[in-house]
Amino acid sequence: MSVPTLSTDTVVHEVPIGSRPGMLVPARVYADDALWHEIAEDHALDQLCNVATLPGVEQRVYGMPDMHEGYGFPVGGVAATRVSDGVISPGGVGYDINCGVRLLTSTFTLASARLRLESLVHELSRTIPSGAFANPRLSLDPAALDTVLREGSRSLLDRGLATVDDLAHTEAGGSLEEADPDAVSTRAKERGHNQLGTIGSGNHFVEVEVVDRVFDSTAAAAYGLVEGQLAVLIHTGSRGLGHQVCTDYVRLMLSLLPEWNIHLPDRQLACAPLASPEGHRYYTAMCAAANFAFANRQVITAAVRDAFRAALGPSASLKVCYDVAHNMAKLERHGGSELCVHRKGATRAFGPAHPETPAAYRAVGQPVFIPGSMGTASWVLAGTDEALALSFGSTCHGAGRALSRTAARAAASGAQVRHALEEQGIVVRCPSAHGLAEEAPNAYKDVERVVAVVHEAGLARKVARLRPVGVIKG
Amino acid sequence: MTMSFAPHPSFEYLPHVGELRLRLRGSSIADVLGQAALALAELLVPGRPPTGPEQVQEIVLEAPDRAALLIDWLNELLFLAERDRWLPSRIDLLEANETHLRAMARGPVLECAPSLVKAATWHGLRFEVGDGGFEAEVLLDI
Repeated sequence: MSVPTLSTDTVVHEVPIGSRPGMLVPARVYADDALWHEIAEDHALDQLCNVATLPGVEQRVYGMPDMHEGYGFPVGGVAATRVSDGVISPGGVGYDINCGVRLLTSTFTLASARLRLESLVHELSRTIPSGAFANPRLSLDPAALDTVLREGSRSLLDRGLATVDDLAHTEAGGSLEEADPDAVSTRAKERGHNQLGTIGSGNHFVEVEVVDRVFDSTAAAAYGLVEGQLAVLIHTGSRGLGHQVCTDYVRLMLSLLPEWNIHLPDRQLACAPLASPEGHRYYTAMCAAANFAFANRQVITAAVRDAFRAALGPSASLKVCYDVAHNMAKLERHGGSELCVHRKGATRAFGPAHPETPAAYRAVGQPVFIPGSMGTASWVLAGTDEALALSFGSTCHGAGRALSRTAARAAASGAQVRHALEEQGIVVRCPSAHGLAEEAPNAYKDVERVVAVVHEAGLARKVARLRPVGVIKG
Repeated sequence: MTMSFAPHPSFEYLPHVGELRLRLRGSSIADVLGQAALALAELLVPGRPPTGPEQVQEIVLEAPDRAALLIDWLNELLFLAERDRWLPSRIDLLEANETHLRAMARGPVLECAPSLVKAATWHGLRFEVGDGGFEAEVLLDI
């Protein structure tokens, strides 16, 4: 993108108002030189500047170091709009509403479980439906689905699929109270009724990790992490139900834009005034879909526990460390104003002082999980108080793609990727050779650089590095 | 116009770092819509025409313009693929103009619901007419 940018710091790049017609606020991107050049190669910066034209956008729009081209919003984009006179944009959340990451910590070390690792990964792949498969063990009737949409993970307590401790270690307790199942279309419910407890496709996964290195022993102790320990990372979202909610509301809002006199540079930025009935209805539908996603990761958690017991013995136990969303719009107070913070491929990263940081983590800040790729490290970070002023309390969400899916497939076949991972001692299960090739480690940016930037910028700080030893891909 | 799972499709995939951009060409709006369905089937069940017990569905859509019609068409097929585990392998586009489509689609019920594509998006959407016929581009969220 050819716009004037100012580097105000080694990792801070500013695009001033006026660089593009209609920008109401400047754009700021956190990136080192190498990442900045990668970001400038696609249309991500154009898209971030488009977001800066949204009505009611406040202060600045932000790009995280893993930012890349998306649709409407860039992936890795953050924008806050005023509740009083601003808009909510389904494109700022994405089709996979509340796509997110959950970390489970186990009582095993890699050394103690190494001989049974293959059977553990096999058991996980057998227990958790992935790819195109629905959940044969949990199809919800309309009333039960509405309960999940209304209550999220809390609805699973009675089914024995969740514990009170699990909910205490999930963002918002795994249950957004503004959710309204009636705002979710019948079509969305028809897509989602048999998908609870499934990973889906694309970059979604369940991974067995080993805690490779601890960088912050105080925070690691608070999170229950020690070097050598086995852990499980779950990455998935609201499945077809969430996709349909976004499809429905983008279509509705596009038809009403002339009525609201809203002019957009990109139709995928379709939005509605937060104060309008349609804006409010989307928000409550999005919350319902987010509850479905929290519940999805919770049902998968129960399946992971079953698989651990089957493979490693009946005493095997796993604790939820935390569960964070990275595709979401949240109503939050910043600087005395009530704002709707859109995080599209970005993670909330609140510090010790924030009231929404869970009680167990008040001394160190909320945990943040940054998946790498299936052959490289993932990271556990801690939220910071200063991130509130730097990025509305947001940080990155992953390594960020560097290669298109076509280019990734051309670079290596699924069989070659599988072989390379097995050479590293990583056990892989994936129903699709195409999918495996598209998600190859070299298709992603260097997660170490991404994490180094957010650490240096103060958006989050390093706590521990995880190394994959078992991968179940969607 | 009848479209089948064809060996000579008029569509191609363009580079996009995160998602998948589809370029479609055809001699008419109906032709482009038919190509879009075939491209989607190829993506969801790559490499081979899907087989299984056949089901027939009538699809009727109204949209404000042909680009919106393309989005609605693709999203309708994605919805049916996931809800009914069904993918058309033969489509009779009985009526198709700038704002309206009526199709009779035949295809197999699949073993499981394909879920690779989340949605057809509006970002960078175009559906234009030129000297050589119609050309469209649409970005699919993967």
